[in-house]
Amino acid sequence: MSPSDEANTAAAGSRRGPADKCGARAAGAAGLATEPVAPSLVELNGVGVRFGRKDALRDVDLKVEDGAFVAVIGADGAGKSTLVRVLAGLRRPTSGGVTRSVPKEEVGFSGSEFDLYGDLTVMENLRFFASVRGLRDARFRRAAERILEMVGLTEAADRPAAHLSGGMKKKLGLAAALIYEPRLLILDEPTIGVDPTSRRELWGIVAEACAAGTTVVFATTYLDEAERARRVVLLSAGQVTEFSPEMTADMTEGWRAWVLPQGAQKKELRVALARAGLGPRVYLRQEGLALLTHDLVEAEELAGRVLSLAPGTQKGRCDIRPAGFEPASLEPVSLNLDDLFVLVQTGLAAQRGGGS
Amino acid sequence: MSSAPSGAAPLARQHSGAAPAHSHPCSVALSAVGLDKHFARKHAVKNATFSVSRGCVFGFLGPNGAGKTTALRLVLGLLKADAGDVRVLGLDPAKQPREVRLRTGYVSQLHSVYGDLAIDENLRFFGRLYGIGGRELDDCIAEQKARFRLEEHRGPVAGLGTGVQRRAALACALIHRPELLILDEPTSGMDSLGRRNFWTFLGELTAGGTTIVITTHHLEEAEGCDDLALMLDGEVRFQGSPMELKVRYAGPVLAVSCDPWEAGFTALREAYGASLFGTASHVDGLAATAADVKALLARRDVRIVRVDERPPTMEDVFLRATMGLPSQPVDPPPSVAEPPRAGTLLS
Repeated sequence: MSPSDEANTAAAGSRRGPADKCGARAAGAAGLATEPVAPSLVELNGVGVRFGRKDALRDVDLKVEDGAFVAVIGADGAGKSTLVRVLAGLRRPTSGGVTRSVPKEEVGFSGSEFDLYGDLTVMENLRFFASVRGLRDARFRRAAERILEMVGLTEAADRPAAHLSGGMKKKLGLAAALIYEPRLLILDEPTIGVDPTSRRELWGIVAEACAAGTTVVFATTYLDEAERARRVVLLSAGQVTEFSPEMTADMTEGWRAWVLPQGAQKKELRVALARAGLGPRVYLRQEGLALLTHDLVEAEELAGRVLSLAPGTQKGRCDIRPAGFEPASLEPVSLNLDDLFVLVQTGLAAQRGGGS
Repeated sequence: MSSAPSGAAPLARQHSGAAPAHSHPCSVALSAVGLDKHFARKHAVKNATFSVSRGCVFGFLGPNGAGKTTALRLVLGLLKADAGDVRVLGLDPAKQPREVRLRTGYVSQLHSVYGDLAIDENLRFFGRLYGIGGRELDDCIAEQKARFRLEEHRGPVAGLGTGVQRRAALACALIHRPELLILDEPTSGMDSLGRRNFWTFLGELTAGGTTIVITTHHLEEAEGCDDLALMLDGEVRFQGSPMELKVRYAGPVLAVSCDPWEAGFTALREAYGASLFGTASHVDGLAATAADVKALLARRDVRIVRVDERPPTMEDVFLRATMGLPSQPVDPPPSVAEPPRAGTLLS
């Protein structure tokens, strides 16, 4: 069975997303032997970016395929913004090559900071960005009407951009990037400081563009947002790794999350957790205590250590057993992207802990 | 004293006008009753009532422009209310603003530290502002720098990374060891590990008795709070635990996989405002049933691969609340969220 067969088999259930991932991975494993499923719009080969003495990116290989929806995640300062700027053609790499099959005029970009003209109105900003790309007159008016409707800024068309709320500014940035219907849309932290209502609207707009065939790459620190993408890449120490529960299975083999539902005792749990000092793999998840470990025995031991520090037990109100602790009540739950991220970032994923 | 919470908590939660929020000075860090504030053209805060228990992490939620910041400024005595009664740590901020300031810390989203000053200079400045000096101030500065891993960072704050700036702002807000800490979107832009460490740190603070009021737009994070207030349009529409909010706005989200997904998503977005996750369209189960979804997609000739019911996320629940979707009856209070056993709250 060739790698591409494998990729196709794996993709049969859920179409393009996994095909992207498996295709890229299989291609990596077999050198250049296999063709990707879709042609790539942008391809980075051994890209490095240096700021003074610091490497922001080192030897990055990344293919963005036509129609892909890619999230770039990584710790603060990992180089996410630099990477998406290189993809957008806004930053020239210090080393390595960028192959682009999409002309720069067909790339839309919206940055994490408001970078439009504050003293121009919403409409004037759109006109400026459209004219740069040769979209004028009647064609511009039609496009502007459509895009303002799409992002919900029709009423605000004549307001100076500086007077818009944070969420509206983000929407205007997105509108300016989308007005000339780019084939590739690149977003850097599109939702920072945006309230949940506007965030949902923003993602709706991006999804509509995506369903219409636009290729989207975005950088985010919110992993629940990364779950919207069909492919997630992790940027760490200047390099990218494919990142999803399936792709990282070999790195995180054996790790599980266990949850001890505690309901209303969350406050005590939080205090106990801080006192126990067990690090980021024991944390509060929803209404209970979550433990990332290799096995149930360790999970029970960790839960016991936290609960023995709960204020209720310290005062001797519960003897023998920490308050409310029944080992049998630990429930295994699947690792979420946050869990994977923490395991990888803290180097825990590489260790095969003490469990059997 | 400590026997009161089991009876008082549910009353306060439903903020029936009769809730005697001020009558438990030892368990309530902050309370506002009938708070009202008009600006020239806006009724910014309307008859808002909420209370924050001591040692809790309290989430203050709402869309931009809902009145959260105004309410917090009223509470801190930075603005004067038109009507209503506020108590902060047993004090009236309108009459004793200085005392309130000395016992509270506030980190706004912006301008919390001076960009052209170094971290040390910022800490010293804020320490003096709170009346600390001499050896004590040196100790406080050393303590905060160690706690926030700031020892190595020199030069003007503006030239440091965002994460470092944020830690510096927190260090400044905590320099005088406040009993009440108000944080406006403290984790905006932090990565997952940073957020997880930050919440462990909040746990340490609450273990020391500090009360924390936090605003966030990141609702997964709001789930970590003990209690939430949801502000909409100047009004406090809800106060209770995250679980209570989930119970009030219960109902599944439908994850619909179609072939082709593009056609399925486009149809479901048009009809029900679906969101896209990977190739699955998520439809709010309160907006449409599985049967509605199936009928719609059959009419559009789109093949359904599968439909799964998912529990709603905090964000789903928040959006239901802000969109005014019908809530579940709340009387009597849901059993899952019964208050902690008497005596375990505080002593």
